[in-house]
Amino acid sequence: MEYSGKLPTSNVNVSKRTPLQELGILLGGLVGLCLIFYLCLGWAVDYSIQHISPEEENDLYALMKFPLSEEGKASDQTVAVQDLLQSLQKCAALPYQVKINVSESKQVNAAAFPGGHILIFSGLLDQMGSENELVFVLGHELGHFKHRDHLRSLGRGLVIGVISLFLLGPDSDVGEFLMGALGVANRTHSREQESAADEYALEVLNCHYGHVGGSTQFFEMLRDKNQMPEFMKYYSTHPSDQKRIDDLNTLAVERNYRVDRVTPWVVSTQ
Amino acid sequence: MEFITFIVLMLLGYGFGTWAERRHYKSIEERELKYRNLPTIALKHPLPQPGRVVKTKLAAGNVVISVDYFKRFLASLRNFFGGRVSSYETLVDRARREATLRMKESCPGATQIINVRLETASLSKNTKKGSIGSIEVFAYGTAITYK
Repeated sequence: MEYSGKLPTSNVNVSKRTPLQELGILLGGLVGLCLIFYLCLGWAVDYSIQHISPEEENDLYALMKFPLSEEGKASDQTVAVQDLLQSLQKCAALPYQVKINVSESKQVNAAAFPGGHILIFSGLLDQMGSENELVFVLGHELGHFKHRDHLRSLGRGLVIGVISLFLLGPDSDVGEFLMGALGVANRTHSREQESAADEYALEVLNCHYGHVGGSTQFFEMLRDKNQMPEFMKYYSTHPSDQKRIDDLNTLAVERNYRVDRVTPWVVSTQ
Repeated sequence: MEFITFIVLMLLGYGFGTWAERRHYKSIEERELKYRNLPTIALKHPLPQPGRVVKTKLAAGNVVISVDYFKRFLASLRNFFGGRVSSYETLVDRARREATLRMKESCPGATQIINVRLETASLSKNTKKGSIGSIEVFAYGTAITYK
C-alpha cells in the first residue's frame, strides 16, 4: 500500500478573528465599564464629602503623620504670609484653621494639604512680584480647601485602588492598565479642580483689593520659565499656564472686575 | 509614564510577536509539506507495510514557545470576561506542530512513526511579575524503518 500524505487546507485550531479585533472589543468593553463605574464613583464621592465636616476630616488625617507642622520656629516670611492669610479671612471664610508652612526649597510651588495646611516653597516667595500675586496663590490653595479637592482625589483614588486590588490581584497587567487609564481620566478631573480654584482665587483677590490686578502675574512668570511640549498637556494635572491666563482674563471681563496697580510684596528675610 | 511604557510594550509585543508567528507558521507549513509522506499515527501497531523491519527507535521532539506581552495582556483581558482565549490558540497550535515536526526530523529515513503521544507543560505556573509565560510541548513515538 502506498501512503500518500495530505495536509489539511485550513487550520481549525486557531480562531479566525485577528488579535487586534479582539483587543478592540475587550478593551472597549472594559474601558466602557470602568468609565460608567468611575462616573458613579465620582458622584458617590462628591455626595459623601458634603457630609464630612472639617473636624472629622482633621480626625481622619490626624492618623497620618504630617511632617510639616513644626511648631515654634516661624520665620519672618512665614509670619508675614500667615498675617496676609489672616487678612484674607473676611473674603474667604473657611471652616478650617489654615496654617502656613514655608519650606526652604528652590521649587516654585505651593500645595494644600489636608487639615488646613498650606505648604509654600521659599522659591515661590522669592519669585513673587507683588502682594497681589501672593494673595492669588493663597486664594488658589484656599479654593482647594473650599472645594475640598483633597478629599475628592483621596476618595476616588482609594476606591479605585481597592477595587482593582480585589478584582484583579496585586500584580495584574490589566489592573495596572486600568490604574493608568483612570489616572489620566483623573487628571482631567484634576484640571477642572485647578480651574475652579483659580476662579475662587480671583474672587478672593477682587474682594481683598477691590480689583484683580496681578492675578495673571504668577502664571505669566511660570509660562516664561518652563515651556511644556503640547502632547504632555493630556498627562498634566494642571491646565497649561497660557490657558489659565486666558481663562482668568475672560472671567475678569465677564464679571467686570477692575484691574488696578499692584501692591509690592516686601518682607525682610533677616 | 507607566502608561507610555505600557503602550510601548504592547506595540513591541504585537510587532515582534506577529512577525515571529508569521515566520514560524511559514516554516512549519514548508516542513509539514516536506514530511507529509511519513505516516505519524497514534495506533499501537504499525500500518500494514511490505518488507521487513530493520530498525525501531524512540523518536522525540521537544519545543518551548513563549508568549509575548500583547498576547498575555489579551489573555488577561479574557480572564476578566471569560470566553475562548484565542490569543493563546496560535501559541499552542504552533508548539504542537513544531514538536511533531522535530520528532519527524529526528528520525530520517523512518517509514512510519507509531504510538505518537503529545505532552504539554507550562513552564511558569505563577503569574507573578517578571516571570515568563511559556509552553513546552514534547512529542514522542516509535519510529519504524522498513527495508
